[in-house]
Amino acid sequence: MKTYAGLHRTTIAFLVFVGVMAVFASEASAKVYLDINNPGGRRLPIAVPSFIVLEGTDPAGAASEMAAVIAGDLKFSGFFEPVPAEKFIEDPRKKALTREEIHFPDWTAVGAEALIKGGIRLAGPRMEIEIRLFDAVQGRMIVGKKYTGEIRDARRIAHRFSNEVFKAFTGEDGIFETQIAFVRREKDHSQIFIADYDGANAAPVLSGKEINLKPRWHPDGKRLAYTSYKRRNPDLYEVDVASGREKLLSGYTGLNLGGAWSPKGDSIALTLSRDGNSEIYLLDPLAGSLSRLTQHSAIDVSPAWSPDGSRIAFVSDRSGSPQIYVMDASGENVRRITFEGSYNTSPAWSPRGDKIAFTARRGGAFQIAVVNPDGTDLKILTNNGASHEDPTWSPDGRYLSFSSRRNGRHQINIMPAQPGIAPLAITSKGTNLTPAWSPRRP
Amino acid sequence: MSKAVRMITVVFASAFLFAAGCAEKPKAGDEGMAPGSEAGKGPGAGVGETGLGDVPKSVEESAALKDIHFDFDKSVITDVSKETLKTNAEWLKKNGAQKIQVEGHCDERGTNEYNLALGDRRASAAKNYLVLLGIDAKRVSTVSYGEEKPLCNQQTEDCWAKNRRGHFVVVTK
Repeated sequence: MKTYAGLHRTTIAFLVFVGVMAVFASEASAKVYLDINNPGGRRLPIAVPSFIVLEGTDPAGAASEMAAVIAGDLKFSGFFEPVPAEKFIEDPRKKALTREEIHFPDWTAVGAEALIKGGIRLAGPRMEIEIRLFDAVQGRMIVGKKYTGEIRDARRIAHRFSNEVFKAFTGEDGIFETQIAFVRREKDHSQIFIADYDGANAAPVLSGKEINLKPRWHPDGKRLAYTSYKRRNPDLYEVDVASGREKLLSGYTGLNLGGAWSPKGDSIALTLSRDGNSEIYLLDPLAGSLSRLTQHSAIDVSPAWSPDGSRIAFVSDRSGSPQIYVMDASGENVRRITFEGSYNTSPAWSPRGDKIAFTARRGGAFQIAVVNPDGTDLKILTNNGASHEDPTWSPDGRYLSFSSRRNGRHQINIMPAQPGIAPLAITSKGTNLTPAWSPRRP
Repeated sequence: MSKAVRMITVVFASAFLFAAGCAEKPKAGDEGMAPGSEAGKGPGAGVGETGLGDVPKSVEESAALKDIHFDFDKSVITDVSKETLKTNAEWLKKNGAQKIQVEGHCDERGTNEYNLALGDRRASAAKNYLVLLGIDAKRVSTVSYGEEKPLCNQQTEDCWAKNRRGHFVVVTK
């Protein structure tokens, strides 16, 4: 059994601006708190009170923001239930941060089984934060970390500690430091944006005012492929996210769409209509050579790799309506996997390999569905009156992002990949479409 | 891409074609091949190439050319559209020097990527019908805008019907 793995790491990947100063001593234990493979099970009640300002002033409200970010991450995960702050009975003036200082019955009395306590020292633009996770029932510390950074890094540091909490309780890495790329449609153009997975810090990647569509991450998490009309033709480009440098990947006359990098990053599956009809090809981006995978007079579009790179899911209307198909990466062994409904599009293969998510039209509305790669066990996940399109998986294969239209406009939503859970909107401004969830970055 | 860069790319592409040939031979007059890596690195290691098709650089609207419309998730040319295409073909015959581009558009329902493929199919269907009416295929290019350029922004059947269109523009450069 793997638990509290984070405690035993001696090396920690540093961001330039966030340093982990110290890992506090703690009592590791072999107890697994949450069954990661039973996501519909009991949620662990956890209290995340506002962090305590130990030194300096906090005009930006970093202390309360960091606690709110961690509580939001844990609630979204589906494995935790944050205890509402109005229930708290601990005297907020009490600066209790350590096991010795905390009176745990104050927390178990309000139903908390776990507790996160943070303290901040602020000096100019810099801050130092110590955060501890406790088992409130046993009165023991599980994880303790000290971070330094700038005040503007507050959310980033909070997400990083959420990952520690998730790892401690489930044994798996969290996705709280990932990002989501998407398209924001403006009046006469559309732009690629990248935001944190929870929608914060949304910013455009490109400077132009063209129609830019359908971002897809390179497995290195540093580059996006996208289609742009800057040359008055839907050509495929890549952009290096850090520098904004763009490069043409494919500019054949007609469609150059949906650049899906293979899991190794050495090949791009894309749709071209250069031969008069949309077909799926593999492009070797270094050699520029193409191999054609589909040979059919119908529409073939939207390639999506299996995580082992052996197969590709795609959409074809060769049966008379758009349906999901799976083929080998050589183009052989084409099999149709959706048979219900007259409109099933935009497949996304789970990083775990076991499911393909897609857009399913049911009764005039669009829903997010999942199906096994062999076509069995189809489930509609969304069903809340809104219309949902274009799913993308989180790198752990536990969550989905997609666009949802309620009250007229599409917004980016995130949700655990299970039926019966209300999606969480992470955008609210403008019209936002076609999300792509980033890989984890080292 | 600036004109200068484009020029360099074209020159470099030509040199590359002579020097190395290309992995997949482009159709004459339709597509050239251009290096994907920056000019200046020189041929040899690190040189990539990608298709760089010939596309109109600028177009303008023409009141003489009328839109055609399509049914949901269909690219079939309807009887009404056939009449419109005959009128558009007459204009092309009278203006023998002009080239046009057919834009394929979709309504907002459905996923963007599939709609781009559907728009491509609609534009091709319109082009094919014009060719059937005797228009030289070289005078008609196509582009799909999928659901990205709606004429009408309400969520009504009327509005969706207006957006599912083949639109015709005159190529000026």
